[in-house]
Amino acid sequence: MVEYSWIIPLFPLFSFVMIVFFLNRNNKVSSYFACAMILVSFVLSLKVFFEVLAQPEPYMAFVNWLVWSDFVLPMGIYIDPLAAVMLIVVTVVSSLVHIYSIGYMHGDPIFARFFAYLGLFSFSMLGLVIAGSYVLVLVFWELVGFTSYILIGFYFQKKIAADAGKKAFVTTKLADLGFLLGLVLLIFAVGTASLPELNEKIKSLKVDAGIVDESHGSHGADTDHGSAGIAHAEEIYHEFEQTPEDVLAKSTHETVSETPTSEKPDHGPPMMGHEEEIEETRVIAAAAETHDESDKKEEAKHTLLLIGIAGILMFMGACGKSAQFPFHVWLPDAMEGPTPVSALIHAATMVAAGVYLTARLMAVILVSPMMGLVVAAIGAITALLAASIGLVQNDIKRVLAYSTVSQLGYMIMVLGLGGYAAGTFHLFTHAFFKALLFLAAGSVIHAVHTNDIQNMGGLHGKMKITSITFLIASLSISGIFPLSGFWSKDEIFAVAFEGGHYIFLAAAILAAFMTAFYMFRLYFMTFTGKPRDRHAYDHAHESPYNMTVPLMILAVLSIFAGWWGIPWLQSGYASFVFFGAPHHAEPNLLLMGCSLVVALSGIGLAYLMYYKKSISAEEMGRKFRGLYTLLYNKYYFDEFYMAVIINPVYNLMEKMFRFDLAVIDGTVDGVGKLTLWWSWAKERFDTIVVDGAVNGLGYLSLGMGNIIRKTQTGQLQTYALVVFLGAVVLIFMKFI
Amino acid sequence: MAEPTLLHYLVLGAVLFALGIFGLLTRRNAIGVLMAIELMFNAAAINFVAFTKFVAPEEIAGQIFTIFIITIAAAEAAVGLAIVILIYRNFKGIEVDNINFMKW
Amino acid sequence: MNLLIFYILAIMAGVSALMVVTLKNIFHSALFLVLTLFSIAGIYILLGAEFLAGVQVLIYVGAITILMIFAIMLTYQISNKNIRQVNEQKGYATIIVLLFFILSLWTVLKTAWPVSDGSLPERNTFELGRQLLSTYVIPFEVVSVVLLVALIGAIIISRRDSQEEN
Repeated sequence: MVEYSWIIPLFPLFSFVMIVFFLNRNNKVSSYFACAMILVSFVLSLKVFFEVLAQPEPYMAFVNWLVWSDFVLPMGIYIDPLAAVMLIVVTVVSSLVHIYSIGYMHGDPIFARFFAYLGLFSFSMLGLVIAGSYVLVLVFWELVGFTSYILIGFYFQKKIAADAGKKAFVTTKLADLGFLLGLVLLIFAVGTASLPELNEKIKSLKVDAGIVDESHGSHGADTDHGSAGIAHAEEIYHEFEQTPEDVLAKSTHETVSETPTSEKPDHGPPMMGHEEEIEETRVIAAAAETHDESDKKEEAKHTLLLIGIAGILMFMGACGKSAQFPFHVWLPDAMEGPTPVSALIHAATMVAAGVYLTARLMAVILVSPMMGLVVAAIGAITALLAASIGLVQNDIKRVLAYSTVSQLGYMIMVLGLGGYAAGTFHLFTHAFFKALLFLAAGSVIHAVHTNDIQNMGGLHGKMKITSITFLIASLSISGIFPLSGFWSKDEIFAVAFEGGHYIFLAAAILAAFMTAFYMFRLYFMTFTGKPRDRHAYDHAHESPYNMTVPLMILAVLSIFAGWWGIPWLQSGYASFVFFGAPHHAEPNLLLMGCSLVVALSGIGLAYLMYYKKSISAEEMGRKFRGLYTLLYNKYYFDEFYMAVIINPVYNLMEKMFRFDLAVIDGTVDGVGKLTLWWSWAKERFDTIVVDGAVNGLGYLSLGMGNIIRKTQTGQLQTYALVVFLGAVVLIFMKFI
Repeated sequence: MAEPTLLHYLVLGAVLFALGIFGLLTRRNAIGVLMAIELMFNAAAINFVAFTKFVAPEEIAGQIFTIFIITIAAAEAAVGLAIVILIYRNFKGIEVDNINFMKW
Repeated sequence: MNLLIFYILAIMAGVSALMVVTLKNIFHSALFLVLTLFSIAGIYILLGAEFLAGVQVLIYVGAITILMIFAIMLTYQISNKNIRQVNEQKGYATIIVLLFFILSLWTVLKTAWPVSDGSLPERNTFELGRQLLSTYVIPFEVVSVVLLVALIGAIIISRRDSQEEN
């Protein structure tokens, strides 16, 4: 099945085509057909997953798509464990959203169109996941962006929804500029765009440059150990700036006294913080040293630098899709789309594409500490930023949106620190509980017809299933033992701690506290207490089966899916999905306990403020008026962008429009007027000169006729006179 | 020179003929024009008779011809005057100036 | 002697002819035409054409001129007296006539006429009659047809149509 995994994306595509061309009229058939197709994809993805589980060697198949003289651009698929896991995530969430949508979108007249777009989106996402070369990734990347634009702006008759779609598309497009530049730079530097080849190339470049990591794996393989990323961010950054001689001198002082007999031994293992490793490195490097190879090293280091820059640029694209700072502004607005769309796109799949891309770039991150620092920093900033904004929002979907951004920040941060398994594992678990949260929120909105949690309350009594599943998901996302969110969050903390990146650890802990707080604020305000809006409460009812069943399935997954990554397991997640070599770290109980404490305290504070109401929320809001306003207005990011970027562009547009009107239209009108004048002139000429000539000839004839006709006097004697005159002349001439 | 020579007669003929032409070209009365024509006939007749006498007296062809001239003149005068009568009937006047309908 | 007579007759003819073509009163012109014709008859006699002279007087004067006088009287208008008889062409006509006359004179004088020595036949009338009915019999007959045609034509032309009367 793995060889044929390329047909998995084709089923939802087929659903799209069929609905658009044939089934558009019949809503029911369209929806069932779409669900059927995506379920087929799910089944096939399961099959692929089990095959890869048995045989974890990556499967790749390429076709030489573009062949120049010395450059070949291949297109194809690359199925490794990460891709298999992603396939499962995408198909599961997509299938559940399809089923849920049958109930949610019931009664909407353009029901069939929604399923068509869902199918197209699923196709794009699945294609992205199995793509084997970055160019193919870019193609599906753009497709995903486009389909998400359509889906966000599904209710395009509402201006706000159309604007949201536009905002999403434009913001991600701006970020994609980075992706494109990065991709071009990458191809230029390395000469290939396919994933496996790139990873190979980087490995060989590292050998050439004399950079060898821990001897955990042979052949200088990288590991996803926390320390593989950055030892100490600032130190390494400085190290990278130094010349090899300086670094060598420093390390020589520090460590071993033996000096290799070569001229310029290259020493640039920026990953190392441990002395033994440096010694090993130097031994290996010294052994491989010759004069010619130093040039190769220079070249290799130069190429690695370029690759690092390319990586940062491509990460910029990932920022756009995953709504990281500073491209995060589109995600909250994207909540204007229907809730199933939010669940699918903004919980589980599209935003995961950025994380997926960053994970794929792990080779670059490991070789370029600069990139790793950038990635981790942005992730951390985003996590804190979004969590803080989410604390004070009142729209249920907006809170969830910021929560998504914050969790994505977590994933990005840990990827930047080198935590390949941790990041992708969090992606895996987050997809399920975030999708559940959104779908449950959709269920609530469907029931009370409002998004504002200030108008909700006490819905637990009316919507038991929704409430319980929402609670499960909230516990999971807060990281409560033994739900799945606990295990994935713990992995993240472990990576940060073991790598010694205490700043990031602190950021992660703070964000975890805030996460727990706002999630339970949301829960308490929505489902507990007295109903604040009697009218809405009276109308509330539990949603139909096709909406609640997906909720229940996702709740189960939210509990148990994370157990795959329990660190005591021998062949758990980390031994399946890894980069370089599998990592088995000792589970750190202290860290686990710490995260639990943090989560419980967050829940506790929310409990006090919103359930028991012993601490008044309004009091807090008044006391920290300034901070509250700042957070409520999302740090004024939108206003800032509007003023600095968008308004100048609008002004320019205005000016260009006026220019167009004046100059270009003026020119066109001028030409028109000129033509009119020219035709007038020609008409005048024609009338006066040409007609004059013709008429003149006529008048001439008439005039001459008038003159000549006078000779015909009609009088005989005149004729006789002329006859005799003629006779006289003739005689005269005869006798001359 | 007691006898008039041929030249005398010819000159006389020429004079009469010229006068006849003059009358033909200038007379307004139609009958006046006819009279001028008669003059021209007579001038020609004089020439003929003069030639008979001085150039070919044995064969009196000229005189024969003159008889014919006179006869034809008579016929012509008859028809011409009939036409004049007709014109008079139609136009109440016989000034040839006024008979100019075959014109522009 | 003959020359003198010739001159008298010639002058009479010329002057009369001039009168014919210039007089205002058409009646007077007709009378002067009679005189001209008489003079010419006299010239015929000088030229030895006695029969012709007789014919001239008989036919020309007796018939044709009378016919003309009849026509004049039939078409005479009281207002004739005031109407100019000579048209506006007289200037050009004078010139042309003079030119013509000069040319003819010049022709006449320049030509070498083959004057013969012969004489006219003794009995003029006899010879004329004999010639008419032998050598020139065809023209003679033709002329009689012409006369007939002229006769009929003149009658028909000047006949009053019964419709015209109405």
